[in-house]
Amino acid sequence: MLLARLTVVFVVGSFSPALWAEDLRRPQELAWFNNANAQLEALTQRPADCVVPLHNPKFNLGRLAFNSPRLLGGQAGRMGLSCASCHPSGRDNSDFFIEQISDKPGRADISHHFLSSHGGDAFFNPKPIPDLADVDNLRFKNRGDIEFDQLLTRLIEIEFDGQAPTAAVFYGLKLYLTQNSIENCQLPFQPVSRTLESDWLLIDDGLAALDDAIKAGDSATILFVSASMRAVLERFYRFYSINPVKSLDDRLLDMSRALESLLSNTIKSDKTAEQILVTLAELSTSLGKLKNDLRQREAQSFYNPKTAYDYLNPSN
Amino acid sequence: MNIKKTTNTETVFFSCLKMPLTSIAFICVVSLFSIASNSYASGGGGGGGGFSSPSQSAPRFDPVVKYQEGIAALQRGDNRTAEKAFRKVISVNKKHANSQYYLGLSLFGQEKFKKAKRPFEKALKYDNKLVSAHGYLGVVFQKTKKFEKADAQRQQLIELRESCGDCNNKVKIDNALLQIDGAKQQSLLPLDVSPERGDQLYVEAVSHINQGHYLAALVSLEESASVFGPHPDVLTYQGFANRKLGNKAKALEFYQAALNIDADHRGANEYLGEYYVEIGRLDLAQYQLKKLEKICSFGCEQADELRRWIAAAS
Ligand code: HEC
Repeated sequence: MLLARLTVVFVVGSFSPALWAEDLRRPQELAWFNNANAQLEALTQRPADCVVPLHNPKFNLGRLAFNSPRLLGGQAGRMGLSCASCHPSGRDNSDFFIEQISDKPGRADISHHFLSSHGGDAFFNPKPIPDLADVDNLRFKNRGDIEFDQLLTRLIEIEFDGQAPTAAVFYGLKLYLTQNSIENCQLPFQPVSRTLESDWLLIDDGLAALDDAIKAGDSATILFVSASMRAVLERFYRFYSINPVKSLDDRLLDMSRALESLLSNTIKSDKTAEQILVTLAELSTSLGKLKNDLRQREAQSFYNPKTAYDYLNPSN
Repeated sequence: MNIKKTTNTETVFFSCLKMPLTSIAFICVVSLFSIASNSYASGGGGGGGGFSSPSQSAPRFDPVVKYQEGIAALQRGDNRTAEKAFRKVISVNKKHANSQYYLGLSLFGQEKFKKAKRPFEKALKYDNKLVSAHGYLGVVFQKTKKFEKADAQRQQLIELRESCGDCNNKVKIDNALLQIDGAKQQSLLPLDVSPERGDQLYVEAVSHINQGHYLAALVSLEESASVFGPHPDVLTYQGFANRKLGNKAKALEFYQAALNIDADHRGANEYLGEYYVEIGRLDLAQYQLKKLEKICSFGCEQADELRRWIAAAS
């Protein structure tokens, strides 16, 4: 692959930094597949949900955490992997392939030393990525069990080198994973479209979780949620990089900064929860407007299968 | 949950399926191939620039591109082009032992033996274990009738052979000794220079680092560097492993070499910040953190980790 690309560089005779700067903005999930069809499916489709959402902000927190690269550390965090990279919609991913931790698509060695600085083993032993909704009967039966807590802790802190999650994040994750069950699958039981709307759900999750954490004065969780929401904004920034519009890019960057300062306001200043909630409400309004404007350009983004297909198949 | 169902993806796939059999094979295979050579990434690394493996990000960095260009030229026997390419690489990173060695080789290939001497010597100055450089330097001395100096190279090779025990460099050392004696032509490129091998070595190195095996990591990194040239991901981990081994000055040199090639390299900026924390310069560490926050407009693990280091030291 590299040599092919270099050959192009030789023929053209010069190197174009601008081209590569653009490539750096491409969706990160392109790196987790070894063929164009799988990449196209990952950008534009996702498995059907087997989750009945709860009206509980901790559930929203859990779903956001499951999709957040900030939950993981080490190489996984640096690559932008989240639980959902391997378990999209809480399910499985039969196409996932990272050269050095997979032997075949759909399999990964999550105890590889490459990912883990304190839990890895010396063997290359990739396993199939299980469907966490238990379609393959692989699921730990009792999500309420202490054993399940231990498994979750090991996954986050040992296999994926993450920081210990806050109590609220941990509880939320369990809530999400408990709701994710074969009995709750939506029919028809086929992949559904991945869209701006379906990814934006995570921003709404973040807003609900922030509201809850601000009221609880839980600054560590506020920190995690705003960092996770910024990572979701980055996803839009990347998905819209194919036909970028500067004003939209700038607003995504502004929102990211606003979330960052919301965070520092909470931690540093002596503002009351009420005052911070006012700022949050303003932020929520701006985000709503941004979503509408992004929707206008969705056809030009990677969410549109035709646009994504053309990018992935440049010779056509 | 709002699930909208569009059929565009299906249209793409179905139109592929509806084609006559022969064209399916052709178009689908061609499109697969083009993606394999275009956007496909092994995704392993990201120790540095982001989410890619070193081979994927390689073309972003001029010195790495030049290095690969030099190797390709050497392989097809175009020594003049190779010479030019390696001189460019060296102008950015003069301490890259492999680049010095290959510059020596390209001059040697043009029978410019006197000129080849210095780059071979420099290669050995920066990495005395580069066996092939000892071999070629020995031959250069033979050809320029500096027999005592050729002997000195022979001696160094013998010492390397003794100190390496059962190491897998033994055959290489024997070949280099034979080469000095004029008995054997060494193949021009003894190393496996495929990018896949480079990525594999890089992943091996990171795995060693994660286990605290820093010396082993340095060996893999050096080999990876011989494939990629001065790649900032590799340089960053060379710095990291040296830092963990207590070689502070060397670590700093590697970090700076990485930043010289990519000022916004996330890993190099993070680890340089950690280095500052370690030497008690929290002001400089803070500066690195500010820089990372600017580079990562949407936040990143590298900034988070450095922030934790600074908080723990404050
Ligand atoms: C690199 C891909 C990858 C990532 C990222 C990943 N997993 Fe998994 N997961 C796997 C694989 C592979 C297994 C099977 C391991 C085995 O069989 O030993 C697994 C197993 C599991 C299981 C046990 C099966 C079950 O249903 O009880 C749970 C739970 C789980 N993962 C949750 C998570 C959570 C939570 C995260 C994020 C913290 C996560 N996974 C991130 C690949 C991944």
